[in-house]
Formats: sequence, C-alpha cells, structure tokens
Amino acid sequence: MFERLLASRYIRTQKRHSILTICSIAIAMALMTILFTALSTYRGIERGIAYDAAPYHAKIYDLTPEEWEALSSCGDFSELHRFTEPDGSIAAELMFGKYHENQGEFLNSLLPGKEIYDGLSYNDEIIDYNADLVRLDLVDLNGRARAVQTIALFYVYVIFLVLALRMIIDTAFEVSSKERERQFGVLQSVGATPRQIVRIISLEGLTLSAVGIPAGLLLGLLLSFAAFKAILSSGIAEVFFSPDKAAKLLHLHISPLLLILAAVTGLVWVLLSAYGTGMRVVRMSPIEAITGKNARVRRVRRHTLFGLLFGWKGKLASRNNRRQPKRFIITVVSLTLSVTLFSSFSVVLDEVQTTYDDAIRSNGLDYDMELIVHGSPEDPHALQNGLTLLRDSGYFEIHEAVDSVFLSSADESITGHCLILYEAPECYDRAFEGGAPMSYDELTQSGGYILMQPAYDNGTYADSLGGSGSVALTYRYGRVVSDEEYDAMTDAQRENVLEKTGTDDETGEVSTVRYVKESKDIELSIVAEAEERRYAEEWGNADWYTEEGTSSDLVYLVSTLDAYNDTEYANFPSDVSTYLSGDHYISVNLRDFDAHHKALSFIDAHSDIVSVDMDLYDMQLQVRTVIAAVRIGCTFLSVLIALIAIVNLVNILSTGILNRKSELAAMQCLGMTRGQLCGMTVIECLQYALTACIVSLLLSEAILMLTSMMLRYMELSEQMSFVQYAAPVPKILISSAAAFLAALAASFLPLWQMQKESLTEQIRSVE
Amino acid sequence: MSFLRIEHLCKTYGKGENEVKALDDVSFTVPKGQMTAVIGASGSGKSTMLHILGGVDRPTSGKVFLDDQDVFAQDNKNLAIFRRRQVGLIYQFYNLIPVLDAEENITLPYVMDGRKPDPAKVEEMLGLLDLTARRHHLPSQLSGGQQQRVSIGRALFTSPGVILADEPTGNLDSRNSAEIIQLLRKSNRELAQTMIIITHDENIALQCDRILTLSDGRIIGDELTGHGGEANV
Repeated sequence: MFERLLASRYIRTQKRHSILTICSIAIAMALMTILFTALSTYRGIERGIAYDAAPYHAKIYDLTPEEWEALSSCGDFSELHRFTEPDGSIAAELMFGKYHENQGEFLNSLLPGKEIYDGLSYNDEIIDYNADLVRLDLVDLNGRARAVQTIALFYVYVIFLVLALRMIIDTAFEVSSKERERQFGVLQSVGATPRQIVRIISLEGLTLSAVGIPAGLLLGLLLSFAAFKAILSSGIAEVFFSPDKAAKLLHLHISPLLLILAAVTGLVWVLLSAYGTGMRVVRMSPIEAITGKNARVRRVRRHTLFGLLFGWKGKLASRNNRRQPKRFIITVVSLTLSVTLFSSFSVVLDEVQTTYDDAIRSNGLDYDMELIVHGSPEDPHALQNGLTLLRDSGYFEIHEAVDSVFLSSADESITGHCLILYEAPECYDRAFEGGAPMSYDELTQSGGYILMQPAYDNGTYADSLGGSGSVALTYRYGRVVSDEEYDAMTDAQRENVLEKTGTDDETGEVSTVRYVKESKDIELSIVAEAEERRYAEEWGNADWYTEEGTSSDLVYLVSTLDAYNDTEYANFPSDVSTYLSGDHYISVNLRDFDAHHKALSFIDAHSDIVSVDMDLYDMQLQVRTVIAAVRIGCTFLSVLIALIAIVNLVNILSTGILNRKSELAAMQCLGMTRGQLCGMTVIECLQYALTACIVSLLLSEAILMLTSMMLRYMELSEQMSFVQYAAPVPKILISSAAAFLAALAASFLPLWQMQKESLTEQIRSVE
Repeated sequence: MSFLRIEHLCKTYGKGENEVKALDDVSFTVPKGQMTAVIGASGSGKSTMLHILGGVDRPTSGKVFLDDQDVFAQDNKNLAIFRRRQVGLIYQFYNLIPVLDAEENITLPYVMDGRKPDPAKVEEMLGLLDLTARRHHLPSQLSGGQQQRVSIGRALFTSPGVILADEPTGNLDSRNSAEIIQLLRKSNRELAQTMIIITHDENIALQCDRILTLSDGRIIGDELTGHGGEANV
C-alpha cells in the first residue's frame, strides 16, 4: 500500500513538520484534557461534599416491618441499610439505583399511606432527603435537567476553546501541506487519485495522532495536577473545610469516560483537519500544484490601509498577510477568541473584586481590626498618644481615627447643632476622596475649620456666615462637682446637678459622679468649604441628610487632629467631664497581613492604652482567599487560552517566514536593508494584532450589548450593574499588545536563524 | 579604463578536509559598457563569483572595486544600499516577489530607496519590455519569458553601474532566450550598461563582447569576440 509507505516517509523526512504537528496535537489534547478534568473534579468534589453531609440519597424513619419489607423487596435501590433507632423504631438508609422522574412519588408508591412527599416537598419528620446527592447522581429528572444546564453552560465555554484548539491542529496540517503541494501535484500527475492523496494525508494524521494524543492526555493530566495543587496552596481549602475534611474531599477527579471523549474528539479533529487539507490539495489541478500558479486570476488591490500608513513596507506586509487568506483568518480568529476570552475573564475577576470591596465598604468593614484607645478626663490627648503608639509599633496603618465634638450654635448663623470632626493625618485626604480644599498641614497651621456643605444645601450655610469667615458656637459640658461643693449648694443650685452612677467592670464597685451643666462660647474660623457627600456616606445613611431628613440643623466642620490639641475643649481642666473623656474607636489595617499574631501580642502588651474591639482578620482572610482562588482559576484559564493563540501564532508566522526564505533573501539582494526587512515584519505582526484587537473590541461590545439587553428583558438590569462598555477596552488593548509581542517573537526567531546563512545560501534554498 | 576591478578574489567553503575553494585568486577588470560572458562547467565558481561581484556574498579574501569604490569596505546597511543603487541582478529563476505585480516588481529597488518612480520612465520601461498590457499581473499570472523580462526591467530600472545575470535564459525556450538576449544587448548598447552574464549557451556567449572561462575557481580563458571591448585579466 503505497499511501502508507509515502505517509511514513513524509513523516520521517519532514521531521520539523512532523514534530510541529505532533506538538500541536499534543497541546490541543492537553488543553482539552485539562478542561475535562476540571469539569470532572468540580463535579467530583461537589458530590463528595453532598455525600459527606449525608451518605445516602434518603433516610426514612419510623418504618413498620411491612414497610421495610416493601423497601427490601424492591430492586430499584443500589444500597439499602436497616437501622434500629434508640427508640426501637426501624429506619432505612438507601441509595437509588434506578432513575425515576420523581423519586418522592416513587417512594410514595412504594410506601402508600406514609405520605413522604406531598407533591412539593418532603415530610422531614419521616424522611431525610439528600436532594444534592440525588441531583448529582442524576437519578431524578431534576438532577438530569440541572446537569444538562451545567454541562450546557460549561460547553458554551468549551465550544469556544474547542474551536480554538481545532485551529491549532488545522493550522499544523495546513502549514505542512502547503509546503508539500508540489509533491502532491507530482503524485497526481503520475496517476495518484484524489482519494489516494486524501488517504496519504489522513494516514499521516492517524500516525501522528498515535503519538500526539497519548502525549497530550498525559501532559494534560500533569498540568491539571499542578494547577489543582496551585489552587489548593492558595489556602482556599482551609477557608471552607477543616484539615480533615479537606484531605477527605479535595482530590483531583479523573474521569476515564471524559478522557476517552477528549481522545475521540481529538482524533476526529485530526481526521477532519487532514481530510479538509487533503480536499483543498486535490481541488488544485496537478499543474497548479507543481508550478504554484493559480489558474484563477486574482485582482491585485493596489492600495491598502497599511500601504497608505507605512508606504511600500506596509503594502508588502498587507499583501504578504493576504497571500494565504485562510492562514490569516485562522490566526486572527484564534487571536480574537483568545483576546476576547482573556479580557472577559479579567473583567469578571475585576467585577468579583469590586463586588467584594463594595460589599465590605457598604458594611463599613474595609479594615482589618477595630481598636479601642482608652481615654480619660485626665488625658484629653489619649487618642493622639494611642495613634503614636500604634504607628511606632510598625504593625498598623491607621485606617480611620476621628475625634468628634458636638457644639450648639450660639447665634442664628447656624441653627441647631454642629459636629466637629478631627481627622488623623492618614485619613484626611481619604475622607475628602483626594479633593480636600487645603492640605492637612495648611489646615493645622490655620487652626481653622472646613465647613462641610450638605449636598442639598446650595450654599445656604456659607451665605448665612455672611462672609465673616467665623461662626459662634457653644460648647456644653459637665463640670464634676465634688462632695464638698455639693454639700455647700442650695437646693435651687442642686436642681442643676446631674448624678451619674457607674459600675467598675473589674471591681464591681458602684460609684456616683455629680455634674453641673455649664457652657462656653467658642468662636471658630471657617477657612474653607467642601461638599459633605463623602461624609454623608461615610458616617451614616445618606437619606438621613436629605432636606426632608431630621438633620437639616446639623452642620459638619472638619479640622485636623493636630489642631485639636490647641482647642479650648481639649484643654479643659480634669474636673470637666466631656464627650472626649471616653474611649476612642479607631480602625486599622495590618501592615503585614501575616503578622496578625505579633500585632495581637503587641496590643496585649499595651492593654492599658489600647485593646481590640473587633478583629476582622478571619473575615478578610476568607475574602482574600476566595479572591485568590478565583484569580488563580481565571489566570489558569487565561494562560490556557493564551497558549492556544501563541501556538497558532508561532505555527503560522514562523512557517510563513521560513516559506518565504528565498523571497526575503531576493529582496535583500535587490537592496533591502535589514532595518527595512525588520520594519516590514513588524508591520505584518502589527496587522495581525491590530485586526484581532479591533474585532475583539467589536465582539466584546456586542456581547456586552446582548448581555445588557438580556438583563433588561429579565428585569435584572438594576441588580446586575456590571455591564460597563468601557471595562474590556484596556484589557483588550493590553492583551493585543501581548499578542503583538508574541507575533514579533514568532517572526524574528526564524528571521534571526535565517540571517546566520549567507544570502546566497538563502536564495538557493528554492532553486 | 576599468570600471569594475577584481583583485585576488578567493572564496572558500567548509574547513579542513571539507574545504572547497570556489574561487581561487581571481583577478580581472571590466571597462564601462562592456558585456562580458562567463562560461564554465557546473561547480566552476561562476555563480559564486557573480554573487560576490553583486555584494550578495562576501569573499574569503580579495577585493572588488566598482567605479573605484571598495565594495566590501562597507557595512551591511551600506552594502544593501550599494546593491539597490549600483547592481542589477537577474536570476535564472527570476526571484520576483509573488505579491507584487509586474510594475511593482520592476520599481521595487527604486521604491525601497525612498524614491517615487517617474511614471514616464515606468511607461518607457514597460514598453521596452513589451509588458504594458501585463503591468498589473502577478508573477504567477505571467509566462516564464514575461517573468524574466520583469526581472530584467527590475535590474535596469535603477540604471545601476553593473548588471549581473546568472543564466538568464536557463529556464526559457529558444525563442524566449533569443528575445531576452536581444533585450540585454539592446540595453547594453543603448544605455551603455556594463553587464556580466553567466551562461552555458555558447551562442549567447558569442553575442557578448568578451568571454571569460572559469574552471575550478580560476580564470583559464579570456577572449574578445570581436563585438568590441578589451580583455583585462
């Protein structure tokens, strides 16, 4: 059989192409194996968790001996175990061995009068139904329907990848056959039939598959194992499982059935690619194949966009890329798919991160720990000292530290109350979202205040100041009345005295402190104005601050914690009980997230000054771990996608350059400099990357538009706000730039190899 | 007066036992406007010599002067520019750029030089080559003779100092061969082009002014044919 002889000779003599084709098949197979292993592992772990929760499909309680008999005589269970409960009743744990559209109705029919299932739900007093396990074992209609949904969703993605993988194999055959068209032409001219030519190429495909497919499966399994280890090492297991459970449940699940499916799919593609390539070759007449001349007269496009942009080099590059339109299209489609999927993953990843961040921020928990700096009337600078201690420890970054004072308006310039916030330096710019009207130091030096205009206010408060730049306020406080002073008071005076009784947490001793209400007028200078929108969001419900809200008489002033030291109320004598005497709550982030224990030890060692109010470390760790796992997963898939594109790109561009070896040498003989040659090559690569970039942008925007329309149709557009048309643009630009660099590498490596030969040797490579 | 001067040219391939001397101390001069044929058996070093004269390959030793300019004293970039401006190469297998049509192939070295071809000159060249009707055809749509005419046009278009033709008729039938030689002879006479033609065909050699014979990398014969010119070995 001469076809087999020729196929094996071609494989042996064309070593470079054979290795390239085997590598292409192996890479495509490896990627497919990884995908299928990911699917089987996901389903395996999901089933393991469901089985671990309850190792049966159903457990039925309070069975009569007759009912047990009915169960045990039924052959539809793969497992059935009888138990005697502590109260002496019979219970049965069972696993369904056969499919029933509705297992509840099946059990009802088996145990009439038991009323296990009412058509909607199971009676949990007599049955513990493991719906998850039933669903995952596909033994009821619901399970199968859900499985079809999952697989359908999975396959939407798989089909994208699988098409890209098909291109790898297709490209390898296309490249190999293109260079051998002349040989096939000669064979046809000496009497080989088209069927024989197709058979030669198909036999080659089969032979190369015999090496490529097993190698790809093995490589895919190894890579799957490595990726699974990498995901586990991110700490995801510890977040959701105890070490015992993690060891028991988290394993790589390899499904022989899916591996066979991958192998068969790979083989079918190889044969389809071989057949397609063979049919293309035999459609040419022998003389066309031998001479390389096409009988069809093609119209030459004299003007191209790249020609206009880059002159004759651009024109040559355009025509070079178009000389084999199929190659160009395959490469652009492959790049487009990769760039689009890569940018989609990046957008999803960003969206996950943003959703987490928003959720945390909206709950006011965007920090690692909340600490209490202990204050006292004797130490009005307790917060300052506490902050200094924490800063100097090196463990903490101050996230939010604000001291606040309530004052009342003494005149009619501002009605009602005024809240003054004293910001720590670290928090100042963040509080203004970077839009502070003056720097922290300037505000400290001025000793003044920033008037925070409510968003709805339209400058009313500023106007009410009348341009004086100052506001008169009253500071109300309680002065401690000693026992001697109290005794000396008249009854009328005693009516103004308040008594406050407190219990010492440690000693349990009850003590009473007497206060007399006093006030002091204070003149504050307003040095700047700013919008309070950020404060409204930061300090409470924004609605509360609306015109209709109750706080229309509440005004914010902002100053610096450093300026606070010079204020009247900070320097009141120790017998004045003020709002400042209590504990100060500050939120901090850990400088080194892993130094949590050291930070706690530090706080323990300074418990007289600072203590922990709320430790969010574990929650933040969980969030970080989940995001890390999603990131690893997305990165892993992105790398797979990028690999597909790069293999295609390297195949097509490097062989394209090598095929043109003599032609490129001829151009250099005619006087083309190396710089001009490199310039032309760069433009060719640019054309691939730019086309893929533009198509990806259009495709991504079209997908987003469809998603948006779908969400609107499903009336979910308000809840799902992530359709942002600008989001994929930077990702696409970055991945297109990466594709451009990969294209440059794929082109310049063979060029560099060729330059090692003299022009004479290069030009003779065809002659 | 010599226009092309070759001094002690040597070219060696391989090393040790595998060493092959393709050119062995070749020296000669060619006056401006002379049409010289180089003949010799296969492997005698004809093509190697032609590639070195054209600046495509570098000699192991020896020098080549064109119009008193030391060709190999230039760096690679200037050598490429030298080839583009001073040398017109014609190959047996044409080596046309498949994605460019006839007109674009002819003007390619000129365009590479950053110059805009004069349309009148293009028309004249296409007319001279009898390719006006085929100007927008790709090489794959042209016959062998037409492709070689495009190749000649490309070599002539920049009005180079020297035309180097490596068996320009080796791939053509007798009628096309005669046409090509006639064309080369015409441009040699009308444009005073210096030409060196490698050929196996004695008839073609006899139409040249001078015949150099190479054997084992050495010049073993140098004779004038009576068409004019002078021998300068």
